[in-house]
Amino acid sequence: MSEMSVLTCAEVRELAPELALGILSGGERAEVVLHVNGCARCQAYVAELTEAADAIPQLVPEAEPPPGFEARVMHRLGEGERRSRRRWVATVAAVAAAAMIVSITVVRVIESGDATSNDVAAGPSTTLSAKPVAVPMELTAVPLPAGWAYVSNGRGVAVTVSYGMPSGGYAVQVKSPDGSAETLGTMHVEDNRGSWTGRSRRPIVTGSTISLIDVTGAAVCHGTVPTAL
Amino acid sequence: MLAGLLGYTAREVGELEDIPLGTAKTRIRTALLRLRAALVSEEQTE
Repeated sequence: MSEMSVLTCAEVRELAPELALGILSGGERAEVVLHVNGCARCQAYVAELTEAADAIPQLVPEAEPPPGFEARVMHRLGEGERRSRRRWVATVAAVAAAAMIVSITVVRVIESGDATSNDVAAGPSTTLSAKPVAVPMELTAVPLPAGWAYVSNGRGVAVTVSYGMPSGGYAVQVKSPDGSAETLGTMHVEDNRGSWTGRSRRPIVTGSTISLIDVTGAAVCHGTVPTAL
Repeated sequence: MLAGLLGYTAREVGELEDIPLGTAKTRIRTALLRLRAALVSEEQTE
């Protein structure tokens, strides 16, 4: 359609969903945007997909923290002298936890339509299913949420933290129930935020512990893989 | 698998799910198109 663009309409339509979801890499994004600017039909297509992508958060059923969550957090925080700051921290933590629940639900909702192609042959009973299992990561120093880890196919690992983590590098470690530990890689945290994706050489099972280890060797946060859903 | 909705790129989804990049891209595309179709049909029934 557009003579200026190096991409064809067909190629742009292949990449349009990723553009709509905002996950296209910089170079590809620039090429697609260049084409879309000069091609009304592709522009309309991207607009439609963006509308669908923008609707995703509204499709998620409302998810509330479990009953008593806030009360328990407040109780554990106590009535210390830094009360106002702690209240704020608790609110942030609660909101972060609720937001993550929503995010997971989104994945589940979208996945449910495509589940059959993901089914894998049944392995040992403790092996996790193809669907990602969410592992809440809790700070070791105080019982507050730090973020989440996701385990899929028993080997794929994604860790994301958004609270209470000092800036720096952390070793992503998985400890099996039998006590053997494996370091999967290094995750960088800045402004409390960091994420890491990678794979475990050995299967991650129910009862495995995922930890982020700082340079001193201390596990700053950790989470135990729950029973697969 | 659409971890892309958590902001994961197709490359990260492929790595996470242990599937080729092309497959990850295809699944992301299929899911969003399916969602688009579902939204359109819902609008029509309303």
